[in-house]
Amino acid sequence: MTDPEVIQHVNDLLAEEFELTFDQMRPEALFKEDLELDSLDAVDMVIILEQAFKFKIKKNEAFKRIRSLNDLHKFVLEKKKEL
Amino acid sequence: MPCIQTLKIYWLNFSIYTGSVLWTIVGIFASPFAYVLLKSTGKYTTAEAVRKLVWIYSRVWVRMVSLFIPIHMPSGNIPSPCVLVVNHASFFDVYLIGAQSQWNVCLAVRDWPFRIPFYKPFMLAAGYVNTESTEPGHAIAQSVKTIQDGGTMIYFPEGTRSTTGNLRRFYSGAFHTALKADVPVVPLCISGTNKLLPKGAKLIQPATIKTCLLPPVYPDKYHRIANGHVAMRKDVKAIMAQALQKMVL
Repeated sequence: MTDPEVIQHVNDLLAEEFELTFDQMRPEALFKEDLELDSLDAVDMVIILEQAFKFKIKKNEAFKRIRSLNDLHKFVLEKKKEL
Repeated sequence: MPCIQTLKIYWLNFSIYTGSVLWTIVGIFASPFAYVLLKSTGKYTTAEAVRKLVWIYSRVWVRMVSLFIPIHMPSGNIPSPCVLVVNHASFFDVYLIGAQSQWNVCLAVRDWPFRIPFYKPFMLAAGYVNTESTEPGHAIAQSVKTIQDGGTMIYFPEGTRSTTGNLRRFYSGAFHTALKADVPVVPLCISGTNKLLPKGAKLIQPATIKTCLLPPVYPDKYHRIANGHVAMRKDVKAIMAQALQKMVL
């Protein structure tokens, strides 16, 4: 999977899980302020990303610092490279 | 006439709040003795004994409140084990646990109720699941374990109280749990509590509370599709929205 494909897959997963439209999903969109996602959504996000990409996020400090969609894309791409 | 209506509301508030406080005080002082009594039968684990006490407390509360406002109890049995999902519009929805027939019910709730001093010891002893403070995935694992031990999980999938009377977006925890534990989701619809005491209100208003158990939604077909939890969540939300619409007519 290329980097743009990974980003597209992440966006598809988030759109389905959180009932978001693709218009909302600008890279700079902040999860809390723009997409209105909260701590319970973060739990759901961890589960779907772990299932989709087969890596572990639990107890990951870098994940806790994620604020925007762009941060998440970078995080997933980094984790994919570690596999 | 407005004066009589105001007096009625004051009477309603005095009765329900006073009754609730008195019953809670009785419950707190009686619970250690009732707990010992239940444990002495040898039939209950610690969590089960506390869940039974909480259910009895809720059931008596429902009976007491039904003296002042009409409460239609749900008919039908809940298949056990299962995941019970309940819509959420009022603080009083949690008390309506006592309106349904299962006593071995375990709540999945956010972090803040665990910080209420009176509630905390009971919630911890009952093994209630904190969906926020634990590591991601732990809440689902704890919920699945509860079901494997014979308990029924209760989720409020909206995560917080609706302020409009309409269903909010659903979180996925209940549906991940049902699929992992391979048990049905049973929707319990509550209407009227949004009028009785909506989010942010202090004054109880006259209302009719209706509760309705919907047919179980079994996990089988959702195992066979990618992201089955999303499909199950959407289906359950759709049938709950439809049922709630009929209930308010």
